[in-house]
Amino acid sequence: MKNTTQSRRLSNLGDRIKSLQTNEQPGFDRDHPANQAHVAWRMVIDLVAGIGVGVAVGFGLDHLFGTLPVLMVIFTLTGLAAGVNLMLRTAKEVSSAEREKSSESDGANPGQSTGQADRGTRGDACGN
Amino acid sequence: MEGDITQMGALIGAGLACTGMGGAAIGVGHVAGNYLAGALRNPSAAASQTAMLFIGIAFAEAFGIFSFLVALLLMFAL
Amino acid sequence: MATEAGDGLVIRPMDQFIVKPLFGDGPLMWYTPSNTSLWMAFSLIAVVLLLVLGTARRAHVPGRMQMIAELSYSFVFNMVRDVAGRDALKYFPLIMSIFVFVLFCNVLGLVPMSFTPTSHIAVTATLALAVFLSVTVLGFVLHGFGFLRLFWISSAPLPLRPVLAVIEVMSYFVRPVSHSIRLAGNMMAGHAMIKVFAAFAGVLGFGAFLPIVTISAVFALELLIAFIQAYVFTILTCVYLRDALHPAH
Repeated sequence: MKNTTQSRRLSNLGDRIKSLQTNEQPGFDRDHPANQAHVAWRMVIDLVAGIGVGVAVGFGLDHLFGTLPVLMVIFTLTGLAAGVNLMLRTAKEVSSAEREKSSESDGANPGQSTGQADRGTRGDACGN
Repeated sequence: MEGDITQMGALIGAGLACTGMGGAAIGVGHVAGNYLAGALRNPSAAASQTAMLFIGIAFAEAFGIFSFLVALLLMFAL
Repeated sequence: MATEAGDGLVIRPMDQFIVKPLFGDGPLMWYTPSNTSLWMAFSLIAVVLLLVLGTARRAHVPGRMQMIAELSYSFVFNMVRDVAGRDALKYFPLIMSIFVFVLFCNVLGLVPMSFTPTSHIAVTATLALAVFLSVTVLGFVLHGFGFLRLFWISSAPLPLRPVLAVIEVMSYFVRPVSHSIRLAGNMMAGHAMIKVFAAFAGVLGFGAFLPIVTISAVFALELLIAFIQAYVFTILTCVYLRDALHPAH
């Protein structure tokens, strides 16, 4: 008899620890829409830095070999491709995090998978 | 008044290059506005498309920054 | 710093970023104590005050300082675990040092009349280069030449792979550049903006309350940006570390 209540309390403890751990994330709410603006800014700078590095590398190599426009054009295009590559990788990260979160909230409260419910839980998380 | 005509041309060119940033502003507004319109029509699909929103904003804004860089180059590197 | 000269509005928003020697006007060598090194030292002292002295009592019921120190510790700890995985926790001290250093440089730069070391590309590029070099060396030490699989995307069709490998190598070298420019650019732009509004307030006389209200709002935004940029710098370090630990896609 005592054993079952103890095990029940133990499993309850596990649940409580889990809920406390998920609720008490320190720091700011990284999923809040206002705090996601830095993702767009990150993509912009990746693109610009890609082309910048491409131009710099191409110009340097051209200066070395004396073939001025050729390598610069090639490396600028490569730099643009690299920037787009980095940007798409960031986008993939964002969308996979989004999917994870929506599947998590599905598991927590089934039947409420709309964006509205999602927004509500996030607002609560923002409060603490 | 000092400086030569090359510098004058470079400064005028820098000013003209800055109009490109206005184009980027229009582009970002267009992307965000259309995203908002679509998200209000179908809020459940909005969260899955934020990545596309960021890609659109990044592309539009990047070309504005290119024009800003061209302006800086004209002002200081020429 | 904006100065109101006799002939109207003179805005010098970039004067706050000039590196000056602390004593005299001698030439600026790498060993000269300058305002950059002074404010970096201040941020180091603040870090020590918070993280060492704040937790020195080891109270079971933490006070304010210990609370903040423990919160920042667990914040970075969770970030490393979530982003880079459990086997990256070995390198947690590096990431924690980067986070608190960048955070305190950013936040102390918001003190009036102060200097922001992270607004200089020289400082942020050094940090980014340290991250880049250590991550690359770590990847080669852990995986040998298998680290190069990071650039060889095995899920793509075979004829496309060399082209993609060139693009991936280029991306790898673009990352430290954007890593450093992002932090320095954000810090510099915000401080320059505050100084431009301050210059407006200087010439407007009684109408100066408008720029002052704007400055207050921008200052709040800057506090948020100072934190977010430290966070972004750290989380990107975690992403690069994850690439070094698990190079295969």
